[in-house]
Amino acid sequence: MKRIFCFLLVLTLFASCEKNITFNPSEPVFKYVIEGGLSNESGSCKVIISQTKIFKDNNQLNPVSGALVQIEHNGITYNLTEGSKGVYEQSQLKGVPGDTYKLLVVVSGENFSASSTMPQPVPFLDFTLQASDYKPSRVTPQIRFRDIDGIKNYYWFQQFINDKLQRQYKVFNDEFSSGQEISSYLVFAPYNQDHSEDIIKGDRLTAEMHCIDAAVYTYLYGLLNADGSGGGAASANPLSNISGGALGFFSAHTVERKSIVIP
Amino acid sequence: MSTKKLIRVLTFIIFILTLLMVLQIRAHAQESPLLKKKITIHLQQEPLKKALDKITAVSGIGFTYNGAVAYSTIKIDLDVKNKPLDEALSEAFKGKAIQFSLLQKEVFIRLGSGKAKEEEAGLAANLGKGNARYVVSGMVKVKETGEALTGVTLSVSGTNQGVATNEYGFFSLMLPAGSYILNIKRIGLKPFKTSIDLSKNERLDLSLEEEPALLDTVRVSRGPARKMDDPQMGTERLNIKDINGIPVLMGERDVVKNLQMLPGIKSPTEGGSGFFVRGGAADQNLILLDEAPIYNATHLLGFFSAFNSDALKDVTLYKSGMPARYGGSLSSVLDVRMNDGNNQKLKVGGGIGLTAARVSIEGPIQKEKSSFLISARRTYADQLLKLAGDTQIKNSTLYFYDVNLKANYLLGEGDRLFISGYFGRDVFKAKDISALDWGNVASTVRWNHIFGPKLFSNTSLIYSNYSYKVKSGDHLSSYTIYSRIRDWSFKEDLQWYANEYNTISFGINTTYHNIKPGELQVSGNLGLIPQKFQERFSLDNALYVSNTWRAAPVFGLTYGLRISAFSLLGPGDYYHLDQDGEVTDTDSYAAGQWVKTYFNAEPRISAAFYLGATGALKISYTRNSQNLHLISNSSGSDPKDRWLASTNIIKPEKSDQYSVGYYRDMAQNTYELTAELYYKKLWNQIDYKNGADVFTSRPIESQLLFGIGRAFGVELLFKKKTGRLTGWISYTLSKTERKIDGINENLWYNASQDKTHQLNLVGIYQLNPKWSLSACFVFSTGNAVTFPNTKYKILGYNYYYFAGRNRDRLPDSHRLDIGATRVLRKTEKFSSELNFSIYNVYGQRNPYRVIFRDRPSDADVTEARSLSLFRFVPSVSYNFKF
Repeated sequence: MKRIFCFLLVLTLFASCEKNITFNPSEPVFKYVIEGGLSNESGSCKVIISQTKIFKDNNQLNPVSGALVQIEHNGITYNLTEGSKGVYEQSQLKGVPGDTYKLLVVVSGENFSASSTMPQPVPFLDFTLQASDYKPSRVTPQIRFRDIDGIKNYYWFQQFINDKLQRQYKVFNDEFSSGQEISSYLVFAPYNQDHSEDIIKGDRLTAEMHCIDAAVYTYLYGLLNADGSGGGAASANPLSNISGGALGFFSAHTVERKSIVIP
Repeated sequence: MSTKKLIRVLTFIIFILTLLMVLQIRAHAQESPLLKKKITIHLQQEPLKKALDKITAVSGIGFTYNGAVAYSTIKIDLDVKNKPLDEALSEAFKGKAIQFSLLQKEVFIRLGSGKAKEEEAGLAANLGKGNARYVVSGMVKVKETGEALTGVTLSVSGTNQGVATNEYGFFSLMLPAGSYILNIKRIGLKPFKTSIDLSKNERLDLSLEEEPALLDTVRVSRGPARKMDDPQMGTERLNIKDINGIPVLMGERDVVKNLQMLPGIKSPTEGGSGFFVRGGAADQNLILLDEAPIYNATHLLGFFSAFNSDALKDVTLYKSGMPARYGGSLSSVLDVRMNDGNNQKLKVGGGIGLTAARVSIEGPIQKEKSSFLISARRTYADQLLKLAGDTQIKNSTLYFYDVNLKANYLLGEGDRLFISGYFGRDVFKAKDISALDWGNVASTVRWNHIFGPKLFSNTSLIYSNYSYKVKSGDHLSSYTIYSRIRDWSFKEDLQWYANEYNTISFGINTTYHNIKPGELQVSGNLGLIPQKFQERFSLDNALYVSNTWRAAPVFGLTYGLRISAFSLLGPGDYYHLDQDGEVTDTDSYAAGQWVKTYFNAEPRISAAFYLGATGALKISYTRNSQNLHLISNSSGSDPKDRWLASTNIIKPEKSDQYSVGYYRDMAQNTYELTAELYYKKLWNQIDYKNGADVFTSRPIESQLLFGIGRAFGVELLFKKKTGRLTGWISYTLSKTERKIDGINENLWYNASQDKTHQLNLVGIYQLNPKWSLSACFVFSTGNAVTFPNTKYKILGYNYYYFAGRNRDRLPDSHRLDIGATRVLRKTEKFSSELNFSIYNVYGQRNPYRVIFRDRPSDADVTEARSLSLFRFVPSVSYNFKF
């Protein structure tokens, strides 16, 4: 729909405009934000704890230190230790597909918990780019994978340009494609339109494919409504799988990555 | 409520209604007590008028009479003591050509004809037995075009009796035997007068002449005189001729945008052509075009209305006190009527503007007997896209077209057949990316039949279809979502002009709805499997009866009841869900099986207290129910919104509305003041869950939340209807809230259409016969929206935390539009004019929406950006008719 609005803008090209306005949000509500996850790769277990900050603040992470962070797996509890501020890690813990992981966070006397089950991996078949899908401001390589029939699957594709994580990501479910081979595309488009971030020859585009559980899919699908572009009409907080009132999510997922270098 | 119980209740209500009516008739038939009132008076050679005044002074009984009586030179002698009024009058008028009879609560005096003497002899006896009453009935039309005149008041000179023509131009009026002068006065028509001798039921078909608007006169009057003597309230009526000259966006005349200038009616977004009435949502308006429902009455993503004003006759919007014949929507009824087509001569009209061209042809098929109308419109907005530099935009398509067709045949004196059709389509294609295609088809066949002088019938067969297709994908593969709602209806509406005091409307409606919630078509290697969601079938039945009782010169009452029964029919699966929206059980039904029936009793009551000839105070209570729901999570009119019928889980929406209004005409109808107050309560309101998936194979109910709503407000309207300067000021103060389980911690919150203040000023100034100037100013509080409260980082980027639904507001918006119309030629044969307008003349940046983002030049800063659409939009259009 966003695209259609763009066209309408063009339709009234001499009449429409954008400008910055001063925005005074209502009385701020501060919330803890937990971004936790582990994959079937070693060294992937990481939980980032932060707090929301007011609109006028800078865009740096507002880390929360000194939290107790534990992940429980098969009756064994692993403590995560804080490395850089607000980032809690556990280098030994590596996820196993089919297993359930439970997260417990205690911060300033508040308890937050979540659990996530790592799905079985689904092979990432292809990540390819056709010449016609390349423009310096927008590159749309194809992804291909085959869904597993008979079970519900959810997929999450994260995107990197030269190893830098991008804002864009894509999620899929197999509601209408169970057991099918799925071809789709990812959009790599620099945020800045001033050509300084154009994608050029030699740049490496990476797609990380994750198989995720249903709750994480719901969260990531909903997170797209919280990126500020909703214009106030459809804006809503994503449904978190963390209980206790924190924002964010906890995911145990598989990972497989593929890269393309722009020729 | 069980069916049995309902039938019992229904029977009881019908019984009561019948009883009430009979009582009223009896009450009025035995009104001799008035005439039996004893008086004592002495009159000597008093002129007639003075004599009557004196009798009034001693008896308290009023007389009505015309000028002939008032200026009569007849002298009266009378000397009575404690004599009943009828005897006293008989004595006073003895040997004189004066008659009297009872007319409502007054005594009607008229100068007798040649028959006066014999009548006089039997007068007292006559009154005792109840005067013979006869009915004059017929059709009223415009002489030049044959168009039926709807809503014009036929009044009887010298009395306060009168009747308005119905929506097909029919009237029926019961009067005591005698001779009368009938009058019709309406702006744009030559004053009409005719006399009638009523000694049997008479059929009287009237042809009224249009008042030629000559080039050398500057006399402007807008808007039909409103009807005070009717309890109906909360209505806005627009005559299409009256809206000419009011400036609108891109020069496209648009009835809906004109309605938005009136109190209580709000536009969803700037330039939008949807509307919200008294806190209702867009789907809570019943939009009828020649009785066929139109499910998406907008074009171009909401910026134009689906109605081509060239094809329309008039538009009535009911905000409260909806007549019982309408049902199915909570907030309003927009009844749009198309022109019948000129049955006198062939006429061609049209217009060319910057964005659209229109043409219409109308004329007789058989002179006086039958006529047709074809009206078509197409935009060429996509040609503007060609100017764009971006090739992707250049290769886009964006247009709409619509066609209105109508034909009518006079089958005989009492029968008329109408066939109307509407076809509208929007096409939007962005090359290789996506396409949208949606539209309405509606068609009605109607048969008017006059069963007798008192009974008018209209039978309608209606078809309506709304469908959309959304295509998305790239050059290799794509998927298309298709959805449709299709209705077949039968309606029988009867109007029974029972007697002088009661007009009864009753009828039945039956509609068969077929909803295709979605179909997924796939091409290429997307990996999607084509899907067809279960179609839904339902039968929507209703019966209603309503009586307008002119109880007294100072009091009128309309009361009625509509009973609706909405039945879900198989085949199909219906679900039971747990609290998390997971299916716990499924009931499967076969074709023809009845799944569930919802009964709703909807009382409609309005009462009017007439404060002299120019004022009225009215109150009303209205209940409405709604079984088709539009599930929408956007503020604009997104064609992807889904229509759903009630299911075992989705209950019928219901509303109760109470309203009070004060109406006053001033300075011989030059000014009109309306003030209305309303309070509305809504049940079974529907909203999406946060983050709901609109297009899912899971039961849609699993994505929905239910709750209640309330709305209240004050609406003021001050109109100037005649003179060089015409126009109005309208102001609305209102509040609209929802309380939905699962949203905002189950607390009340502002509905997105909640706009506290709205002020509209519209002025049209006739500078000279050739030029007229117009301006309109709009101020409105911004929509309630959900803005970020705080921000946080997740997955390396900024996202926003929302503290509650609709806690914030878009900034207030205001703008001024101006227009000018230059009449180029105006003769019998050919007329043409040029329209100029500028929308938002001072270029106010009214935020259409506000987005939040990282500043591209400094990623460490977050900024709020407002997006505004229309500033200084000029337009020119040329209209002609020959």
